Amino acid sequence: MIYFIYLLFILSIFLSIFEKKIGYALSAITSIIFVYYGITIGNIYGYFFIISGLVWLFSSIFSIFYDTYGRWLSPLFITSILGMAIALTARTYIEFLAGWEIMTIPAYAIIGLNRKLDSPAFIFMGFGELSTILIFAGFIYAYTTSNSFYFTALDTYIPLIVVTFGFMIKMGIFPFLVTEWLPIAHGNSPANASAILSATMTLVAAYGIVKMMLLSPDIPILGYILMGIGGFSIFFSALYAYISEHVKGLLAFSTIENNGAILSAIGVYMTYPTKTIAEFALDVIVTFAFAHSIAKTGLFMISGTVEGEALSKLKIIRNKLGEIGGILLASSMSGLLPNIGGVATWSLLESLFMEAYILHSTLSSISIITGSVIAMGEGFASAAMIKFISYTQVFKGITGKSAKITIFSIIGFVILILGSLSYLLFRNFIYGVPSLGIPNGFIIISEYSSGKIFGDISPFYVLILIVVFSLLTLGIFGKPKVRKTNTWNNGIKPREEYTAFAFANNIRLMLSKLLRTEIKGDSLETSTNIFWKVMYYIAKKYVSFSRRLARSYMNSSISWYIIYMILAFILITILVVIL
Amino acid sequence: MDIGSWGEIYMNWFLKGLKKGIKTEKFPKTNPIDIAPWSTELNGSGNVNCPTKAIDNESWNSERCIYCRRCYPLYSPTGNIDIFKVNKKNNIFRRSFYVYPIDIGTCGGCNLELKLISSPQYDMTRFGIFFTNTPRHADALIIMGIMTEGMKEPLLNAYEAMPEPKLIIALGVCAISGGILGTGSQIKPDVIIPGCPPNPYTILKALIEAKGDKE
Amino acid sequence: MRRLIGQLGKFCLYSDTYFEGTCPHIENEEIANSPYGAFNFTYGPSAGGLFESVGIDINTFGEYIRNIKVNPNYKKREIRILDKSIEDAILYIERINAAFSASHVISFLSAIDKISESDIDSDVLNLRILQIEMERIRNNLFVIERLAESAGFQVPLYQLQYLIENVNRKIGKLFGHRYFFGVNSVRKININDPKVDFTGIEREFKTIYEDIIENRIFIDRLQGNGIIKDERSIGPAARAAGFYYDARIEDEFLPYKDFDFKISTYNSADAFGRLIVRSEEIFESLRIISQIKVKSKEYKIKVNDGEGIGRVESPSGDSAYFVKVNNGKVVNIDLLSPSSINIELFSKSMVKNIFTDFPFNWESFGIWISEVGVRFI
Repeated sequence: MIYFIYLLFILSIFLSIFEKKIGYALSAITSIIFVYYGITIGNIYGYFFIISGLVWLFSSIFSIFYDTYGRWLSPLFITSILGMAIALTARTYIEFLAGWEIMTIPAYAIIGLNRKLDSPAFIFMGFGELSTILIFAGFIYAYTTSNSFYFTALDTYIPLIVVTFGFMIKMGIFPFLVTEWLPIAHGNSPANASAILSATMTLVAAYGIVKMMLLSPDIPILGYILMGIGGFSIFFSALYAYISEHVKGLLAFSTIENNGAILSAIGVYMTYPTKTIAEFALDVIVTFAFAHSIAKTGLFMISGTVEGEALSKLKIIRNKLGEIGGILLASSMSGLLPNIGGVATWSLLESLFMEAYILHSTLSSISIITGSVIAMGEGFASAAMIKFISYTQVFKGITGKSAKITIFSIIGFVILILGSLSYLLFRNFIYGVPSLGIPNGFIIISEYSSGKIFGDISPFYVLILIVVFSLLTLGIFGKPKVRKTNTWNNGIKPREEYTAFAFANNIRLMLSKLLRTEIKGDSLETSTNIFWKVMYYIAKKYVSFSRRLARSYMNSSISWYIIYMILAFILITILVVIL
Repeated sequence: MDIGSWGEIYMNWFLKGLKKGIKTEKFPKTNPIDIAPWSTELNGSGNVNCPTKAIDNESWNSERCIYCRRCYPLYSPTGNIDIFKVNKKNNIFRRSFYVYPIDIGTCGGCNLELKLISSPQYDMTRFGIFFTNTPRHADALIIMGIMTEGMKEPLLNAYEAMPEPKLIIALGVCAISGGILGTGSQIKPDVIIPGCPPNPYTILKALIEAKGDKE
Repeated sequence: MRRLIGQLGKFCLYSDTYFEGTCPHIENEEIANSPYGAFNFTYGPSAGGLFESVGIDINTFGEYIRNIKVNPNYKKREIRILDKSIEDAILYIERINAAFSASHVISFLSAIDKISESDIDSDVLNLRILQIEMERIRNNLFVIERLAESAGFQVPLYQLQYLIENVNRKIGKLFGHRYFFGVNSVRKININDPKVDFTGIEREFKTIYEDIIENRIFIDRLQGNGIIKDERSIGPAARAAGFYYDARIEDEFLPYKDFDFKISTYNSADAFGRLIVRSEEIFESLRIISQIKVKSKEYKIKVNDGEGIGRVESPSGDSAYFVKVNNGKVVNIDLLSPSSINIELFSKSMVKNIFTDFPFNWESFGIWISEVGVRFI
């Protein structure tokens, strides 16, 4: 069946060269088939297929209305999707790498052709190839130890370590811990491509880590490292998202933040103190992937609906449906119930705190600190989402209808429904308290070993209660009496507009050392590159040190070289004698 | 600074406050203690050349008097502070009366005297009178000063921003009749407090009556 | 040492002389308009935190103040004073600004006295000094109270209000009116009850003063806030920056040199310095007042035609009037109010601070809009 799907994608690529809309429509249909394929597979990887299929479905439909670019966008778009599909369904290392490259190169082309700016595309390619090298190296090692090209169980964890760092690069996290390359790349491509880049390309990377992790033996130390890195990147990328003024850059930093969360969940799995926590962690990974990918697709669609890129100067068309849809998406990304984002955030924090509780040693400090840092980061993430949605859909702009708005609003409702369906993702962690009126199957619990409950939530009941209380209030007090009146603004007509820049400026001033805030005569600038600066500084120092070292011993003096030769001779003789 | 000395400082304020004692006067239950004479009712007889025509036909009109003392000694102050008029009041404000002062063209005197009714000697809050920072939360609008061009629009906006029920209070002769410098406020007041500037005792008593408190 | 004060009608006024013409203008560096993200924040004219109606436009990135424009013309009043007799003119001058009423009237009368023939009795001049110093005490207490109010510093706030009301009552008892209305005329100074005693004020203020400057949180909000060290500053703002500028020792007309007092200066040109200067001035003013004997006085004066300039040190700086008299009527009059200069200084000093610094800095200058927005017709 999977080859049938590949064929359909290739057909859509050809069709889209001639007629974009038909090509997109066919790729949407193929995505539905892919979703069905994921449902029938039945294992954990099926969830990844379902998520990707849904994302491709929505972005293809959106592209029908959105694509006003040249003839190059649609074939490259669908080719990248094909690559991702190949990578997800690969059974051998070679198929995976093929899919990986087929996914990356069209994306590089899209970024390069979009702007005629070379540097974002080159940066993207550079980091992309770096990740490919690491993955390739890991796979080679796995082949040499298992003697097979197929993905099979391994008895060494070295491939896992190498490929994890390779995949982390693609998630925007390593090697420089929240670099700007991902926001630059995702921010400089058309909205539909940004959606699949952020939502599914990073998902394929997470899929890769999970796949190798399930086939490799345990290595808890890597888990702690991933937890730490994940927590750290959540905090910083959420902060950078909050102060960002670029409508797509903000979302791209949010992508890094969510990938950090997935990484932390992976870390919890690797360090599992009990089997129950490990199972729970897997469910967390899947839930987070669902929540992030689908909501991010919707948000990128919003960024494609508005004109312009600077948050304080956008041209917007909006309507009531768009407001509701946008708020649902933003609240999910902020980690609020009853959306699935709320379930994801809750379960991640639960797993970290459960781990700390069980471990009862100094190692639990790592999970507690990670959990606290994640909570702080979620605060910034909420603020960033509020800023984003306020300045794109809620308060500004001209009212009007648009198909693009309808599409992302539908995604918003899908997110809401998924929240109530999230019980299906936590199949072994379902509970009920019939005495309180909640029948079995409607509470998700976090357990750290069988029978020992840590915490619980019920997203469906939150939704029900919100609806019931609203209707109750409406019934008792009737429709609210609304009186329109003029704004009181110190007695004169309101003239000014509070810009998105000013919204986040208090943080730019408070954390000025961290953000390197500089106030010049006509601008206020921050830098999200302090990690770059630190690494660059270390690299420069290393280069100058090695130059001095090299000059000192390679000093073109014959006598020293003779001494080196004699030393080498003595050393080799000793080694031969010992061995 | 350690906890000990922090505690000392706060105890300092507290103890000092206790040592100072209660400074609030029992007015209006008792008579006013210290009144500047040229802010009270004038009485006398004879013809004088009053610059604002406050003395007409041997009767003194409080709504026009700017206390220039040119009628002295034919007319002299009596010490009676009850020179205000409450044409409309509302009992709903008896327990809580929020006022919003708006300055449409004062010399600063009415602003200062109004502010001083919150000083410990008068203590307006014991009657439930408070200042608010926005007309949207205000029960009464206190208009001070002559009507100036630039403040016409803000005055109307403030009036419209206030919810019903509301009271309009004209504080000072400038707002009532324009005094010597101009014309009074455009909006017809419900409560009139004359003076140039009015004495805090007068202001306090007028506000107490406007909000429906009986003696 | 000569210093430049400001523009008084068609003259440029210096500390010891005046020239016809415009004062040398300092070029203001133009700040680029509206960079990305900046917007104009409106404060006023009618807002709870402002004591009078004034429109303030703050150009900001959000929290950070790039530029301030003060518009004092919302409550601009036209004073119909031309062609009125001097006695009638006094009625108007008193009511330009009630808080500085004594300073305004006495500087006007100083201008009139300069074009008249007669010696003014030293008792009358002492009474004038008494009025100005009492006004200074009340106004400086008011500025400190506004600073405490901005900081939410409730206990000293009410203690200071108590003091202000006390001082007002003493002024009311001594002169019959709390803001010196109807006190000064060309021929006499009206006294209501000469037995008024100011001795309790010093002790009470001393305790409040020493306590508030020990409070680290309070002085933290004032230090480093609104720094301005400008040779063309006046009043407490100049003295806080270390400049020894004071009309009381520069203008010979009022006999300050007969009294034992000193000019208070400080060495930090910020809001804290202005607080210290004003507080020290209260003590010095109380010292001057204790040296004056109060008794009602009438005097003879013959006003000629001519023109003259009178200048006094009002609580916020130099206040000057140029008056031209013809046939006993005022035909031309100009005012140099301290607030007009202080507004410029304030706008310059506010740049690079943040929003929360605004109320402290504004109050520390002691600006009264009612004396800026006046036009004589």
